[in-house]
Amino acid sequence: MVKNLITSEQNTWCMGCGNFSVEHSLKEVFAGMRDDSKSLDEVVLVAGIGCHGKIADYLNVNSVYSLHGRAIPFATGIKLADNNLKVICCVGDGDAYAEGLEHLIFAAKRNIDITVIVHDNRVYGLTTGQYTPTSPYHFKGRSTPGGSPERPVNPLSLMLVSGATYIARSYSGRKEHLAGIIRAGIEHKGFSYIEVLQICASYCDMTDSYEEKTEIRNNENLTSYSGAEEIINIWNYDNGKEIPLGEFYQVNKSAYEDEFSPVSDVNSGKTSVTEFLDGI
Amino acid sequence: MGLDFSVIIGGKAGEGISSAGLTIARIFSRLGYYVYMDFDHPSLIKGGHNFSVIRASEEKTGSLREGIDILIALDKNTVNIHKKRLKPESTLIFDSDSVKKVSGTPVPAKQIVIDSGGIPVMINSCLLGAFCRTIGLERGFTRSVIRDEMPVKTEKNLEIAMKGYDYVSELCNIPDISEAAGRKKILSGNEAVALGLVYAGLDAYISYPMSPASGILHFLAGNSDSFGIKVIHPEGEIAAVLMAEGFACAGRKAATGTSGGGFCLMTEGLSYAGIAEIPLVIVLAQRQSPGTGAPTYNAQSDLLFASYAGHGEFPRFIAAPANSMQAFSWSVIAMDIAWDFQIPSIILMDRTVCEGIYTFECDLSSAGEISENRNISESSVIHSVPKGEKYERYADSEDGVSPFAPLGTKNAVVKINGKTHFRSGISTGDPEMLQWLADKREKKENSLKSALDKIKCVHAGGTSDSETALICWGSLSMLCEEVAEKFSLKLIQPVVMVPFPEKEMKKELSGIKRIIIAEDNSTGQLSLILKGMGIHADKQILSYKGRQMTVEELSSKISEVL
Ligand code: SF4
Repeated sequence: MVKNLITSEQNTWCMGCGNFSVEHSLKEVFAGMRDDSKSLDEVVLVAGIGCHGKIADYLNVNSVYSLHGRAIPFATGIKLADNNLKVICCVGDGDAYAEGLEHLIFAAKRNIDITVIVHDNRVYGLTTGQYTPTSPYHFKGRSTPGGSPERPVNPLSLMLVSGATYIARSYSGRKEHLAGIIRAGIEHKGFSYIEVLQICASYCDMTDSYEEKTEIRNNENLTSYSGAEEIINIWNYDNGKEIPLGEFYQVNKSAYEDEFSPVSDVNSGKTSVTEFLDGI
Repeated sequence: MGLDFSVIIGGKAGEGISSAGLTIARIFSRLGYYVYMDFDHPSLIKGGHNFSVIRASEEKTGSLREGIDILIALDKNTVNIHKKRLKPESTLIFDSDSVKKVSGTPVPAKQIVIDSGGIPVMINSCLLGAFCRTIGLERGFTRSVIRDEMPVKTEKNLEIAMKGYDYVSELCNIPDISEAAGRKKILSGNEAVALGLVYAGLDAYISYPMSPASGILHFLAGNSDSFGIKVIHPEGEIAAVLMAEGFACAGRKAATGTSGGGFCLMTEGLSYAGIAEIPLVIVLAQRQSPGTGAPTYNAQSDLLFASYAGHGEFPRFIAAPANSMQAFSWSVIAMDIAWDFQIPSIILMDRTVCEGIYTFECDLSSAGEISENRNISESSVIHSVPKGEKYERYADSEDGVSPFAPLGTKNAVVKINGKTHFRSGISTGDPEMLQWLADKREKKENSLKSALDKIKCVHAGGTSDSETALICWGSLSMLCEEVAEKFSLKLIQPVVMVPFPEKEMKKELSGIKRIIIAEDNSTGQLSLILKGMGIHADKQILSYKGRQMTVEELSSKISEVL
């Protein structure tokens, strides 16, 4: 059953890469949906570009292997076109926090009902190791051999102020937790943002630090903005003793796609144009 | 030659010059005349100088003349700028509270508005009333036009307009020919594109505002409910084009519109549509100059850019309409072609066509026919896949067009991919697949070409057996046709630009000994394309001051080169 959720495409991720964990978590979530007799025909996976993007080739579900930073506008168009579809975006940190940042902020602002999973390995893997918006201060990458002069951004904080209605963080080393968060994110009606701390075995292996510092610490009162802020500010993507994982924020707000009336049936265009021209 | 009448109304931005111009255009349309109107405005919200030029004629028209029969001036600037266009018999109607020391028909419009308790913008209604009397319109007709066209504070507007009407006396009599000629309709090119797209089944229009394409966005947003479409203004042009592609992936027809600067940003999405084979319509409204240029002025300078925009090699369709009728018909065709061939279609407009107001006499059923009679590959969208059958998004086919199952199709795993891919849609760098994909794209291009061979892609007019041809494209066509008739030349306007209808063009050129090419750009972009086909211009007329040439201007340039 679960087997044919994976395509026969040969996997080229490095050994130990955190992407495997996201892939298998998704596979499990999809298998669960199928067991609940929900059709996977209605699942669409939209991926950006980077190591994470190969997930579009590996998972045997509908997919759009899109452009660097642009998964979200594709996903937005798809969701607006067909509200029945469950649209899940897998994006990278370089992908979504650098070139695609405007789209990420706007998707949160609109509260469109899609689920964004950020494979945040804090490095550009596919282009062989340059700093990203969440790389630690003074990160030594191939484009910043003397250490990155930029401090990291805290993307959760950005998503909270932008209007995301579901915010959670997990870690690729905790697959069960990750799968649960993804399931919850997909079930949430509105914009779900899931930050996955993912290790890159080749260019940014943070395993030791994550194993030591990650701690599950949900926001007791999920609708509390200040509670979310507090947890999100415990770790600023640079130093710090504790890295909280868990569900940090969840509220209900009307979703973007509900602002539009459904489009008319085929051929109504001809009638409405004729009527318009008769009236002028 | 029947009636041929030109009017200018001018004033500052914010004084309602565009709507006053439209009212004048509408008056002539109702009387049965063909109308063309151009609204000239700098990129300003208040102040400066705005003017509308309206030409009304018993003959088809889409161009302007140098001479003006009536000049309506809301300010002194209007008189100073346009008085050289007045002929001895012309009339100047002016607000005598703002304009002093000129002769003509003074109307104390400002005072009339104050006395009637109106608001300043109603000065234009007062002068419009005076205009209607001047051209001999009946009271009842004038009242009904003002009522329909100036719907804000109608009663006050009417009162003020009729005071203007009563203040002046009749100077000429424009006859009502609507009984014989039929009451006409007017549409801007932007409205016509919008209607064409809706006619072709548009589900969503997604666009970031940019002159001169914004009119499409505004028009569709204002009518989205009655047209049954979604209209979205997203965070930028990149999002706009990709959201439109998202719609298409889910089987819904979408279009976007922009000008050169926004189109630059869209080229990433354009290439994506090329490789991922996504149906997409982009309206590219050209405006003057590179960079931020002169946003409210005209140019035809993005032809080569549109033809080659994007990286990699992929087929595309480009049509450049000349007026609102062509804009309507070719928008329908552009959408059909995008979906039949799963390629990007570009409707290449220019500022003059976008914002120009043209008489719209279109038999809708025949506009549809152009596309329905074509013999192109039938729409290849499928909505079901038999259980157990494997669906391949990029399956092989004779014409290069694969069956397209929208995302969400039952029993189909649809894998859309912007990287080079297998037939299944899974990525590959395999040399044979790379070549196969390029060949597939070329096959599509060839089938598009043979489909276009079956429809008329070149408009010809003027004197058909002339030995001299005047070639032009886009908004220049109606002007060139009028001038071509005057000089007994043949007019040729290619409407399809990519793939260029070479055979049809050469057929139209058979027997031609001299070629003049006119374009609104400084480098002769169409000439360059034609040169590649061995078609050489004997003379080029290039105009690039942002304003369309008048009939007299083009005529004198033609006499110089003939
Ligand atoms: S480079 Fe890093 S992110 Fe990319 S596949 Fe290898 S381990 Fe994974």
